[in-house]
Amino acid sequence: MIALDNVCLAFAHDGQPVEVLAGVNLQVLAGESCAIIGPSGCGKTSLLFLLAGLLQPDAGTVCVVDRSRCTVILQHYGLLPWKTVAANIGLGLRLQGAAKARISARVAELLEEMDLVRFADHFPGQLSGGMQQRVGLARALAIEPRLLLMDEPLSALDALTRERLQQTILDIWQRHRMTVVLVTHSIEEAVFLGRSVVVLSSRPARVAAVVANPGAGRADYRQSDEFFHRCLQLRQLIREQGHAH
Amino acid sequence: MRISRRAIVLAALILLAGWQAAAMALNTMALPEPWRVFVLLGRRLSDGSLAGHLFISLVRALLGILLALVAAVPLGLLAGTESWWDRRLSPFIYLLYPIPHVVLLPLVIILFGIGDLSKIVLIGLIVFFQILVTSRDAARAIHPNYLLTMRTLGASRAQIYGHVIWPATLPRILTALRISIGTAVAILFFVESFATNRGLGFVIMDAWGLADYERLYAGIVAMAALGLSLYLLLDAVEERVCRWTRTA
Repeated sequence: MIALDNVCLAFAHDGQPVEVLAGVNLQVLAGESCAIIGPSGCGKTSLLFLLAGLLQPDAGTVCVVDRSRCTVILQHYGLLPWKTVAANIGLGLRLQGAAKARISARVAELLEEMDLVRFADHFPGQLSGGMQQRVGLARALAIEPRLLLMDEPLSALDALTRERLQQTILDIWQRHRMTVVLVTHSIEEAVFLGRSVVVLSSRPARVAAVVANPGAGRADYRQSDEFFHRCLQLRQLIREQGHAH
Repeated sequence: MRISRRAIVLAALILLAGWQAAAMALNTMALPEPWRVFVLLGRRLSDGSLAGHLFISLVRALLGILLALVAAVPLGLLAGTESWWDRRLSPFIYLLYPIPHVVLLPLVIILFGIGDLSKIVLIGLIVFFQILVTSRDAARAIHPNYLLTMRTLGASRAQIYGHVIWPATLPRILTALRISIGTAVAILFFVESFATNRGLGFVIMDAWGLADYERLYAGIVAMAALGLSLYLLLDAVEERVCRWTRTA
């Protein structure tokens, strides 16, 4: 479970403090998925880093129950380019000091699950963007996380690959029953993947709205009227954020 | 860029042809024809009278480079990664790097004597700064996401050095080493040109003094071959450890 209570965060920029988060409140129940959406540069990534424990809040409290079994997927530069696909996937386990046999068994399993068997000995630079993010997902899953944090994992991909990987993420979420928090600037992606969608205001970010989206997780959701209307509703909410400034 | 083997052989042949043409045009003792030099070189190498000099020069160059690597890489990576070290080391690097270190020769001789050690130390000293600056800058240039990823996977500091900082900086360290080899061989010639009777630098200076031009050029060619073989060695190392750089 995740609970953020009145979280504030500021960065020093040219000696001046710049407020990034101004009192963010957020709850995500265990096993749920939550999409965070907002204008670019609003502090979405900072929020994710707070959840991952990579940043500490200046005020307020961040409570993440499964922090020790949490993993992060970044948009760029997440995979180590000097390690093969197999070594990248096994990295988390290797850092934990797992036995070699256990690592290779788990890596083989994930290569299979992510349809990457043929690419085990390739380097990330030899793969397409979509395949690289599949490797990133496989590496995240290797440590059997309870909490999966994603920072715009699909935004560099073409539309078709994107939809396919959204489906993959959905499958993973349902199969492994973990908590998923996803930062995105795509409304469709937020509605397809987040059973709640959190709209942030522009910087300094506050939670402008939390939209319940119980349809997310259904395979045919993307084709439904409900999906379409939810997207419209969110577009309206985000536009209001733009007008407020 | 990878250069084809054929192009390298062709370039070598053109250089030799140029040498031959110059020797024929100038028609002077001071520039013997290449085939004479190579015949002499072959004889001197096979009868062992040059092999010893070549060997001692190789050992001096390699040890100097090794000394520089062992000292410079850890310091450079620390300075490039930890701001605490950066703040304390970088002002010294800033002041000491632009000094022509070869002028420190008298000091090096006072400290380490006039034997092999001072020669190795001077080569090491000069290569040290090039490797130090490169490894620091390469470590600074690592994208922070790699480090963030490692931290979210629970990596220790030693693991971050082993899995990210060392492999990420290695290609640039090897490139710096490649550039340093030219400097190292030049310094090798300099330190072998006095206070020793062993090494290719000595052979060249000795032959020059005796106006034995064929031996002089045999020494020069041997020194060139020394530099080239260090280059090839580095190529082989790079081939092994940096396979991934050809994919990115």
